[in-house]
Amino acid sequence: MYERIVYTSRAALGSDARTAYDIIRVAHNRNAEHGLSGALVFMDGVFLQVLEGPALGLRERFAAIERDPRHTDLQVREQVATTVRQFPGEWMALRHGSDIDPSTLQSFGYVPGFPPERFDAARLVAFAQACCSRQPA
Amino acid sequence: MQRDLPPSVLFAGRTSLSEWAGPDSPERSAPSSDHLTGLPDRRALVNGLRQRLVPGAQAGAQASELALLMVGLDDFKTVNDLHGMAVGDQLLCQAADRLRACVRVGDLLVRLFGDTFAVVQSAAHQPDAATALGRRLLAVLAEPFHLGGQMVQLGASLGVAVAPFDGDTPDALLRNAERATYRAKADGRGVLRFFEPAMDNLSHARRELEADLRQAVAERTLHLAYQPQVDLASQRVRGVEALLRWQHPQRGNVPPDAFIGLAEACGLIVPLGRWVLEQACRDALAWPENVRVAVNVSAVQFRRGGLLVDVLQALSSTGLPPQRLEVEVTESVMLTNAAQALGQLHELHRLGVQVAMDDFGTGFSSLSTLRSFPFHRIKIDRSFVRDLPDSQDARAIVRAVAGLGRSLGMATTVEGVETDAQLKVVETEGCSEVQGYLFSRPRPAADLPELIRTLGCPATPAPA
Repeated sequence: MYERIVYTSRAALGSDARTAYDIIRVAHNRNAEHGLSGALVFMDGVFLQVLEGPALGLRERFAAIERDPRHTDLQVREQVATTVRQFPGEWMALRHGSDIDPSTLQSFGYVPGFPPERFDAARLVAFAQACCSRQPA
Repeated sequence: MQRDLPPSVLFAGRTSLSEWAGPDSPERSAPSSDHLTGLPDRRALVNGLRQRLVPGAQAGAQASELALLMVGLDDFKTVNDLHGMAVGDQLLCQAADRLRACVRVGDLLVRLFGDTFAVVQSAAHQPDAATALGRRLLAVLAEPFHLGGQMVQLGASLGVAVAPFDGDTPDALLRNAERATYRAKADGRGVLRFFEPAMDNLSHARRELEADLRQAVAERTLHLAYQPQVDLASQRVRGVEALLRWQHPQRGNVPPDAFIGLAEACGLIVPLGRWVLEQACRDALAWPENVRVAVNVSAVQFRRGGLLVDVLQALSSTGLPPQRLEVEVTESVMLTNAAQALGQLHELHRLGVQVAMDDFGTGFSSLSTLRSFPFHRIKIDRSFVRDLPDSQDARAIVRAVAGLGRSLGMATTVEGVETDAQLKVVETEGCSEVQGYLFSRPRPAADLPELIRTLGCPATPAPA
């Protein structure tokens, strides 16, 4: 049995490219070490993260994420039990929204900040999957 | 109970460390890489990095970001050992071809050393592009290699450092990518890890420990402790196992597990093992003539015929008869170094040195290993004894190994015997010798003559 957490957050004020890079590489290493899969997309100053895996490791990892002062306005969009991983394989993270196919953005009706009225949990997961399926060269 | 350290990892103050295989030693830097794979080498990589790195570049500008991906084949050494260097070379060429097919025009692919390749990826968004490329590289290397009718599957581990975040000089990037690769290997292989500054601290701790270990030899804070092995038929001590101890002035007693691997990785194990052999032989001179001393040896010590030379040296400098020395090897020795190890073991056997198969029943234990060499002794791992007398499974295994030993003409020694009930079981099941806290914990060399007398021993007077 797995659990999935989907959240959005905003990069803390004063965050620069170095901070974003640091968050993403640490997310990659830690999440993979915890046996978690999922995706992190950083667009227009906003993080969208999908985390899935065994509940215990997932909650431990998420507790650390919540404490991280480098982002604010953390909103949990979904926390559910699930039997299937939506992101099988290793962890994936993208720092550059500009690498995402414009047609993907258009088809999802992308609006900066992923407002809840446009992006419910299922749509956020589907968007993250679409971003990661077309990886940069 | 703390695991005793096989004394294969000590090193001697008077022994030269010149054979330590440091990062720049010829052993690791494979000067012929150009000729073998046709790829550029480390020098080309450093030049390429220098040209591509933009001094003082602002992080975030795509043009200035550059990733160095370092990818090492997992267990490549085993291929060389099992199939020979020619097959190993063939594999490296195939790996190089696969990697070539993954990189873009403008990326620089090199063979860095041995089984390690690197790619410089520039003009791409990081870490996104490195993640994507890294996954492709790992995927192609995980495919089986077909080598002259044989199929070999290896996999690889990959570390990434990104400029300017992780450094803006070739040296810094190389160092950090290498640390990330170490981490990837440690994290189970087949994975990608980005460099993190915390890894720097980790390798700093490792360097400190290594320096301490070197100093320990000079200051003689490493020493041997000895644990008797009692023959069940005669109820007398027939052997003594030498175990390595490290009493660190600040850290206290350093657990063997904390430094064996390190000593093996940094090459200290070779001079260390040499010191252990000689010291154990010297200490054994003070014991009765029918008591042998058992010394653990590491796979690393077998390289280039080294163990045979070290044993001969220890015997000749101390004058201990070869029959009184026993070397304990684990099965990993046979697996990783089969041809070299067997040759040396046969030569030791011929000289009269005894050879024991250690930790039998764990890890890669296989019956074929017992057929590969006429061992004098099989040592049944303590993990089976721990579950006695209650576990029927453990009991069945002890019985089976004892029977196997009898059929093959090998003695069986049971380690980790701590209770009378355990002793009774191993005795009933027909094992020949026992070792454990029930008889004695490991003791300093000076206590041994008295200990051997107390535990009972044929009345051979011990030399002064």
